[in-house]
Amino acid sequence: MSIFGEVPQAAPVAVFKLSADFREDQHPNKVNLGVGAYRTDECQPWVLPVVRKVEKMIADDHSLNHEYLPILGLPEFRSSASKIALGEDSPAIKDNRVGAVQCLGGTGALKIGAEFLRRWYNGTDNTKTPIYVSAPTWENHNAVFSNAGFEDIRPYKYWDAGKRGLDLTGFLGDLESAPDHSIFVLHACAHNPTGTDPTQDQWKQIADVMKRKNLFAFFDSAYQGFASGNLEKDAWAIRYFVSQGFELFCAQSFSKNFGLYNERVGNLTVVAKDQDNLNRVLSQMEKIVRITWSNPPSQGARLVAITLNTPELFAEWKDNVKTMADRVLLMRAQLKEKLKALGTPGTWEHITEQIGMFSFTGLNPKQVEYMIKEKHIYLMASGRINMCGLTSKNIDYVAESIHEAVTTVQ
Amino acid sequence: MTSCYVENDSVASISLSELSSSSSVSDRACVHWGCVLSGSENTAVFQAENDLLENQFFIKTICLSEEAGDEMHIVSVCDGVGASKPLPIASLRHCMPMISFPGLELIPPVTFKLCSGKGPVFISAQHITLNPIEMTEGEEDEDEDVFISSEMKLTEDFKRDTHPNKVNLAGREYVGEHGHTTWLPLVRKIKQQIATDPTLFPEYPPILGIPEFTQRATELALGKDSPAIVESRVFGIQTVGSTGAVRLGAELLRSWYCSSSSWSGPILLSSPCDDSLTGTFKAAGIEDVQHYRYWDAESNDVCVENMVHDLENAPERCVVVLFASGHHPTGAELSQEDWKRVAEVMMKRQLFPFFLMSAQGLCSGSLEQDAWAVRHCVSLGLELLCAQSFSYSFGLYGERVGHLLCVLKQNMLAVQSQAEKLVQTLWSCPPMEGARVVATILSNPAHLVEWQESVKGIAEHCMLIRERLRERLRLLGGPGRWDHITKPGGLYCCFGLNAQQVEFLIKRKHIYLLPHGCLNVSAINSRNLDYVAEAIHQAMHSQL
Repeated sequence: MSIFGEVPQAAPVAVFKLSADFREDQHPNKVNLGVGAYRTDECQPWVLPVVRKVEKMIADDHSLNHEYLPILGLPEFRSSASKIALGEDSPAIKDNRVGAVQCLGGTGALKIGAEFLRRWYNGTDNTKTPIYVSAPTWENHNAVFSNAGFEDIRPYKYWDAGKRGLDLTGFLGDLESAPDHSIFVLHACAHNPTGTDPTQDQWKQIADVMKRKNLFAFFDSAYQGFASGNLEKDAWAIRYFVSQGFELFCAQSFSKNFGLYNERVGNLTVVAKDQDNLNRVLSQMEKIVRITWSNPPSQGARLVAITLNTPELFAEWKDNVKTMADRVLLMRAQLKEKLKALGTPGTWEHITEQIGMFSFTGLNPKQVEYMIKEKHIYLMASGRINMCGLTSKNIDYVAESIHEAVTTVQ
Repeated sequence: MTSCYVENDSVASISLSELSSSSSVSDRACVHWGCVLSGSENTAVFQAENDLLENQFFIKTICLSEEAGDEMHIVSVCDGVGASKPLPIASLRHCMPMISFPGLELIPPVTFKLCSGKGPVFISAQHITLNPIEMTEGEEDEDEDVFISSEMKLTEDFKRDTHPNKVNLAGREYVGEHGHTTWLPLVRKIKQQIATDPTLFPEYPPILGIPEFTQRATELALGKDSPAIVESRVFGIQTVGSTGAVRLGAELLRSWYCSSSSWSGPILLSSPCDDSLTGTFKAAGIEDVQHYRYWDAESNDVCVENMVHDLENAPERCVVVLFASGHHPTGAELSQEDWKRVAEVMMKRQLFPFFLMSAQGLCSGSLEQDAWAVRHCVSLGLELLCAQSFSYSFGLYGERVGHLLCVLKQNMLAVQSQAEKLVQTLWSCPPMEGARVVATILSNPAHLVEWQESVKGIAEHCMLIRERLRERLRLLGGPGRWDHITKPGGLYCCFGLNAQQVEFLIKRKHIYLLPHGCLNVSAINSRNLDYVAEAIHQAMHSQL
């Protein structure tokens, strides 16, 4: 009799199951609009040219050793990554009150941030501090904070299905009614899964309430550069909050904007009131890292650090990022045009108003099922599609299929 | 006749190259000391009043008086450490009446003897008293600090230490003779291949890692023809180093052990053990951490009797953390007969083994031998977890290549699915680079042979250092058996020193080592062997 004999089967993660089903499907016209990774117009993953270049540089560099990185990570990675988020000339950086922890992707950064907050925020070991995540949000947010020990994870209103946009009133309402010192997980840009971001004015309103109620801002920034094609624009919200004097965390992922999904490159940027506070926070985070993964992996961090710190490579990278962002924008524009041309009922402005990799089409579960079963087009039950899955070759088929789904399935 | 010249000099006016520049010494007082030796009184002794840690004694000059005769004068000295036979340090005549010492430190009590000649001979020295070293306060507390901070603090202190002879024996990595971590030319070659491979695409890897890696790692640990593999009762998870494997295993146990939704222990760790190990289990929510006796200070070895006794008396069904080989930090090993006894008790009391195997092949030179304990338990039908590291055997520390092996009786798919969920809350999916390198090497027969040779080379290098260290210590003449140095293989070795002796080595000799005098032998090389051996000898034989 096994000790683990009664362990129940866990439900598979929806997005991976979707990919698995897609792989097994033999239909010639099948399209995968599920997974959250960039694809070229040939529907292939894309190694950024600058990444190829730097990878080779690293492999040929005989002076590099393979020792453990410091527990907090590669210093040149941490500082350059934080600069990307906050801006080279950020006053907070000048004041020496910005630090960072290299982590295992965006997930790892959320994990370390969550573990720290659970131990040291709002008293000690206060697991009852409410964590607010957007409704809807990336499904893993819930699991990371809950596993870190937080007992009270709540949704805040975000997506208005009726008007297919941001429910600002609801959002502000939930901010007002949240207990003081609650933690809010904010998507820095390119909200996953809705693709709908607050405008600058709306961010100002959000920041106002958060300041007044001493709510903690924990930014999740997985798409900087990828959303608009412009690094500064995609980091506006974070920088605004910093300028308003917030202490905050920002979990950065370089999976998408460097195409480094498999090397797990993340950074937890910490903005504190002053250097003394920062140092104490980092010292505690170091202890948390030590008993989680001990030291972070070197490959991806080296690659990013070299790229960000070398002017020509940095320029080339920004260019590569713009290439990806531009293709997504093109697909958005074309999909909208085709749906309008087909006369598909409903409004489709949201496709170009939304930003980043994902779009909440507005298709209901029945329509989604139709798309999958009848048309072999795989998308999430929520109606979320990955724009990167669209190509010049399949966009007509997808547009027609959406038209059919909307007109024939209620 | 001795006379004492007392002055209150500030330290700033003295240049003493031997003085520690550690920032933890808070303040010093320096006092001159002198004596006169002659035919009638040919012996003088300097005694420190306090504990050794607070005193430093430096001979400065020995000088022949003008009034002395024309014969050869010889002054010899013996100090508080070891050799009872006095050592001549000055031979003086009128043509060369004085000798200066730039900073010769002796350990009190120091005895000067005029062996030849009638003197008078003047001896001057400096006696420096150091205020007791204060423990630096950590900003938050206390319980968590204690078990995590010692290794990290040692590393920080070592980095800050500017002493020319400093040696770090507390590190985790294997370093070669040149003092740096080594790696296989093969590894570099494979990395270059990977960097230019057009078929490799950047995608999210499987949550549990790449199958090519987990399969090889599993086979390495259990042997290709292991019953568990043949019967499909085993799965592996690629993790972020062995710390990641331990953390994941701990989370799995916490969530699912004994049909519990929140199992919090007890878990038994060896005494002593890596201080971060306790922290890792506690962070996963396993609060009840206890210890079984492993290292025995009397015999400088494992005491199986004690260990078995503690396991016999452990609560039924608790989890026991065992080092298959390469125990950290002592290096002490169990024989195969010992393991058989341990496994028997585990079965009898239904204890669950959680093996740690971070350096398979590096301890004995044989992959099979170093994994024997795990394979034996599997052959008995036990369920177990095993956390493996590929840092040491591939020199891939920075890449964080670890593996959690799970051997079960049934219900494998369900446990796998739950493990996936846990991984997603930790790091989502593991980093690819290092695992790809390992998988490539382990899958290719020619690479495999080359790699095995290098692993054996590391094991042999460590054994060689151990033998040289033992020889040195034997020559320095201390009593004692030195088997504990050469009996086990691998990186670590334990001298069974007490806290004062360890502190002496760190603060006075700038040799950084772990509690109980555990150290990483690979950091000892031909350049520092003498210094280290002498320091250990001093620590063990002076009045501390």
